[in-house]
Amino acid sequence: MEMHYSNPEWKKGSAELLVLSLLEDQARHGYDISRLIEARSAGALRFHVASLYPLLYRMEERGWIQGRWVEKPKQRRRRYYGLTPEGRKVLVRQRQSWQKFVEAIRQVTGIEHA
Amino acid sequence: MPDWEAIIRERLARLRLDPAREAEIVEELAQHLEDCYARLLAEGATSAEAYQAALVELDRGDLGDLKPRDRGGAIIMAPPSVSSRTARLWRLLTDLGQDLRFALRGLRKQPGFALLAILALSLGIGSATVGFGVAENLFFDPYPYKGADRMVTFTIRDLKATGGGERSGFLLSEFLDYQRSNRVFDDMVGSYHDQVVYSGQGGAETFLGAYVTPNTFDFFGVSPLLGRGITTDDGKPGAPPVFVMNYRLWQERFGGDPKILNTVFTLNDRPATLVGIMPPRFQAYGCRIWFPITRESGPTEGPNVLPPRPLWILGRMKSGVSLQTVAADLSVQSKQIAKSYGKMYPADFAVLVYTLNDFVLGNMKRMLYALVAAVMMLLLIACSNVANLLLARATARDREIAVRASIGATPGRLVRQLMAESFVLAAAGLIAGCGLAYLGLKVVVATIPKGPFPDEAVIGLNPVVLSLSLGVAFLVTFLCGLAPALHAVRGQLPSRLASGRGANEGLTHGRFRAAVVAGQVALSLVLMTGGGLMVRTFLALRHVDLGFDPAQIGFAEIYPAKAINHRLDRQKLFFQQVLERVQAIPGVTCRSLLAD
Repeated sequence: MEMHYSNPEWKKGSAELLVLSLLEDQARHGYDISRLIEARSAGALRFHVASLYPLLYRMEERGWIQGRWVEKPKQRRRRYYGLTPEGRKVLVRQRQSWQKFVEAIRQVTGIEHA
Repeated sequence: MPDWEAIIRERLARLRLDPAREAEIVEELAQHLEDCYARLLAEGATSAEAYQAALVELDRGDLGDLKPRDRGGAIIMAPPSVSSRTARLWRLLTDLGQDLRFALRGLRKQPGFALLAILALSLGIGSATVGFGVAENLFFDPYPYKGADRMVTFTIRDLKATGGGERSGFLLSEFLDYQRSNRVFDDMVGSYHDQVVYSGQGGAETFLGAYVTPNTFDFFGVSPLLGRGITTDDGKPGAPPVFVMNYRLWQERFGGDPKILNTVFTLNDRPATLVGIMPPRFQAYGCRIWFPITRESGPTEGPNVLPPRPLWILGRMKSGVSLQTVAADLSVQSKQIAKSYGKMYPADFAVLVYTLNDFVLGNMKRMLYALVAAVMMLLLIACSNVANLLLARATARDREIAVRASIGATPGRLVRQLMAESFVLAAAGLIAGCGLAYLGLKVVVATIPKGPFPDEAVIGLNPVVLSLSLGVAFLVTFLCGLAPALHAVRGQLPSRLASGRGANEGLTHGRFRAAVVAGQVALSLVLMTGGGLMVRTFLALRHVDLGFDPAQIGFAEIYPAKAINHRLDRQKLFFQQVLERVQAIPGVTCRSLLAD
């Protein structure tokens, strides 16, 4: 993942939040997730295969998301990930703490949202 | 489309993941890379650029994070033993399956090439299988007898005689002496041949018979098809005369009628009861019927009595006893026994021991080795033909191979791919070759002379021969596929894509193909010379000067009944009368007798 935070914990935490957020409304496959992150961040954030999938598997291990193979006619089967109830709770908590964090930064630095 | 699954597997191999888990990860990641690659191509990237960009996806970051962890954070790895081996095996099989499918597709696109190659290989493999079939059946499994590989016979050789001087016949008493002093054989049997006159309702017929020592059927250890074999009781003085018939005579002369068992036949003017019929492969001594040697069947002494018929001795070596030990032991025994038989043993003699098969095959064994060598040469010629075809095809596919290399195919994978093609050809050649061999062996069996080969041998396809053919097919795969495979991966593969093959490489390649052709021509010359010499020998034998014109000469074999045959005076009288009658036939100008 190409992000400009120096603290790896931030990177890790933000990556999890990004994935959880994208899965909030619907289940998605890995390629879809990576494309959405890149598109919605206008190319500022990118996940590579070697970063994204270890993250997905780790989140699945923790029980935040659940993957399942879906087969569609004339297509190779794909693994779609969806949020679990536990994942929804984590998403709510992470959103709150990120909001607090961003607010704290803003107050200190005087940076305003665009 | 690059083989993403193979590329991902290569990178995951070091992680030693659980095979099932690894398969899922490979599938998922490959799908992702395919999507990436397809999108980049759609956006206008070249295939090489798209490939490189997709590879970056895989190589940025650490796939080591895919290893599952336990709660304490320690990395959980698959056990290094079975599962990783299974995974590797599974991968290998999957890749091989892909290679074979690809090879089949490629060959289907060039049916002319495929048919030509398969035809050449089927001829090579077929002839090799025929050669193996004949040699294996005759060398390794010719006899259906108990411990046949330990059966030996021996002769007495006069060391001072010039040009041979070997005696293989022994008197009955001499045989009994050897049997009494035996230390190296499980058992010994003796036999002699005799023409047997069968007097039936349709007149007299003769069959080749054998008089055998009563332990013979136990010695060979083959159960009769019907009735019983000859037993030791049949050899006792006063025992009722009996005989055993072979399968072929039973079928051909008596229509396989089981009712003839225990009926009395008139053989050599004497009644004898048929007590058993042997199965088809039992052909001991190449005879149609067997009698027990009894005191009565042995000729008595007298001035007009023909000398006794010598016995041919066969022994089965004890387990673990070597041919040399037998020779040494018989040498000692024979020195003792010789003292009782005066001039029958020369002053200076040696005992020569032969395995049964060596004795029966004799010089034919060398001919069979030559046959196997010839068919192997034929196979090599076929292989070099196909290798040349494949090499030419590989040259024409240089660009395709270079493209595949540039999008990630490793040299190992390319070699395997080309070997898979030659394997497909060899497998098809094997199937067609076995069909040809099946027919070929039928022709061989129908045409080879029976005399020099054991009657018991069943020449045909069997699991051993088919296994050898399978081995040949693997050899063919290797021989045919190696040259084009090495050619394909030589030099800088991706650079060929841009520049084409260099002049030097083309020259080297041309030299290699020239060497293959030279080898083919050399092998063909050897075969043609050998074949030519054989034909020359055959023609020379056909035109050898006998000193007379055989077209004007008639020949007849006469076997008088036993009452005449074993009395010298009656025999002389009988043949004298025969000669007189023959001379009286108009047109007969000369007559002669030859006694065996």
